[in-house]
Amino acid sequence: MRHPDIPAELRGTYAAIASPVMIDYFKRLGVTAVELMPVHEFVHDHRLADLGLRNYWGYNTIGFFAPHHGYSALGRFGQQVQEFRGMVKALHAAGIEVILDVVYNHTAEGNHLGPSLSFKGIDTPSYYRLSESDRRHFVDYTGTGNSLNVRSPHSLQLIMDSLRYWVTEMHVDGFRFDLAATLAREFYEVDRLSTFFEVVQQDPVVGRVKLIAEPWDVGPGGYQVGNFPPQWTEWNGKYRDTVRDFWRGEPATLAEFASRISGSADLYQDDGRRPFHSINFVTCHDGFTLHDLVSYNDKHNEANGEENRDGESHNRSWNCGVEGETDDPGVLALRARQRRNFLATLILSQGVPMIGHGDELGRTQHGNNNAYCQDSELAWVDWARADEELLAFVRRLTDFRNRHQVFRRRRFFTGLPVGGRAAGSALPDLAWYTPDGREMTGEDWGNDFGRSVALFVNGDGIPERGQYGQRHRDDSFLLLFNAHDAPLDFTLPPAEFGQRWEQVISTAEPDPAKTTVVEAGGSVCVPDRSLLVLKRSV
Amino acid sequence: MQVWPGESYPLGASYDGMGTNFAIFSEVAERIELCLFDEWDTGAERRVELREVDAYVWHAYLPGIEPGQRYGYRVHGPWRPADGLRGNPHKLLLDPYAKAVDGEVTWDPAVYDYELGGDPDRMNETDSAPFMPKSVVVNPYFDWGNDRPPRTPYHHSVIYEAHCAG
Repeated sequence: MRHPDIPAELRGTYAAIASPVMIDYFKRLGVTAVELMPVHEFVHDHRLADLGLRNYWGYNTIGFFAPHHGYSALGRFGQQVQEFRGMVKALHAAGIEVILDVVYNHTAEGNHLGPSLSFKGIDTPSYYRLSESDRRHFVDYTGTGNSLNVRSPHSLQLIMDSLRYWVTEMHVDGFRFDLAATLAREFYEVDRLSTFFEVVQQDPVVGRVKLIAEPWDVGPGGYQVGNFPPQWTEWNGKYRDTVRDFWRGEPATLAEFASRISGSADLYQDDGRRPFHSINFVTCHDGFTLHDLVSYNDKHNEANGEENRDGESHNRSWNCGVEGETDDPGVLALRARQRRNFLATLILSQGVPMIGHGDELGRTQHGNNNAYCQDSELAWVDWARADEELLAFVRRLTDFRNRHQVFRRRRFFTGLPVGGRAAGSALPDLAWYTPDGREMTGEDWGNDFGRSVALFVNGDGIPERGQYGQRHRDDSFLLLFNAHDAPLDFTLPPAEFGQRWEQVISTAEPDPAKTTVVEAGGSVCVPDRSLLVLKRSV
Repeated sequence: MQVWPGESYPLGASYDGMGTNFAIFSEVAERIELCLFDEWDTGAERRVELREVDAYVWHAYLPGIEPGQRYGYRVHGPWRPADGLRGNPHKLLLDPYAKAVDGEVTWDPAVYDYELGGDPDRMNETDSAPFMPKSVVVNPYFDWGNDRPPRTPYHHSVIYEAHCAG
């Protein structure tokens, strides 16, 4: 964190994250957990050093117990440990959790031609997967040269000892496992019942914290979204893809969009999981920032020194008419609206929203979608160019979510009547409508050109009880999504759903001068590419 | 310097207020030396042979060794890369259980255990210690005060993915 109000000598350190400036920022943003990209001791790769670059992201661990010394303001002789602990303590005092992005799938030692820094010289066969046919060679499921040998009890012990250490001695609240599918490759296949998961499940320390999988790796059969054990939550890659496609106007996305924003029951319900097992995100460190998602069709990774060959080419992004920076007011307005569409969708979806750092204030990497080696202004948050208007909008959204239980359900919707406001008019807990006010049918969902839908969520239909056994009563809402490139009139559902509705959020008009009120059966215009949220007032 | 037998658990360097226990696992090693470095990077290195091995865990207790002590290991073992065995005592190795690390890798050919750019079966016999970061013994004590985990339920969580340096 390099916020200008943090003393210069502390910027970019654990102490900076713990500073009152950042804690206040997190609190006002409405986030409850900070998920730190790798802080385990890591190595700046030889190849990058030769290119005059450094490993910025840190997915190149050499010490699974050590807080990376480069993020310490206090010193390198162990002070980094106390500084890290101080950071956790300060965040906890503010009610904020600390989740670590951990990389147990490989190490910084590469393959048999890589450097000998630790594990390799100590006991290669215990720590690394070696090829069955030729033990000179390392098996590589991660694209990095090696894979930690999770079949070996000593590697497994290393992973578990490390996880326990970070919980018991450093007080962290959870982990996000990089390329977690690799940890399940006990043999060749990705095996959900592999030892690693059995050990985690019965561990009294590790089994009690937040466990988030990045549920894929680069090996065969490695894409495992929806398939992790019930105790685990997952980065929902399908959520990201679908929400991106919907708002950029791709055909045939409506049905999947509906499932993703309502909790991805199709992925998680069958094994007893809940909507919150889906960690929803539109952007993360890997790929375009949100600003760049709406400003670039193509990646621009020249700064990485590989002639733009690195990085994902299929980004599901749309530049809104001009590639990259522009001063065209129409394009800029559309981009601003698209960013609001993505953030509003994310924060109002069932599941756990994850915001990529800086996306709330318009962070750009100038089209670079693979900033792993850009320890520079290209990747850092530029606080001087923060989009205060967007930030204010995101704060309103998180505050809105925090006040409305109906967007933070613990159970999946059923679509069945749950008992209405008056006897005899039992309304469903959720219902989908076409813009002309009909309930959506199979045919409507199958319509390739459908880019608009209305979602009714019923504040009286929350079955789960609160912490103290109290019944949750919330307001009811209509979410009117229009991803068309033209404005669309939505007819509101009949009076039993609500007599009168008032506008509470509009991504087309983030800071409206007056409140729009619509009567049952009436219609409301939803501008092109925007989301309008109405609250039932009577 | 006194060297006591110490214990095989826990792995890593553990300071108890009076000295430090060192323990490292290797099933393939034939000898392991603990290497101690001063804090001024003079290159001075004291080597301590780990003579105790219980179930492939090599260990020793060094009274008077305190937090801030920099160290590493040299592992003597078979050099048979074709069989995945890469023992090379010319390489100073980080403790896999290091709780802190000082310094960065300097990309000299010495940090490779074979002849970089040459025969991958030929052992590189240059000492890598000057080019390697060092493990550091840390102070396990910290005043956590009344720290307690927030334990925010998932359905009330909003996660912010962040970078320490960015």
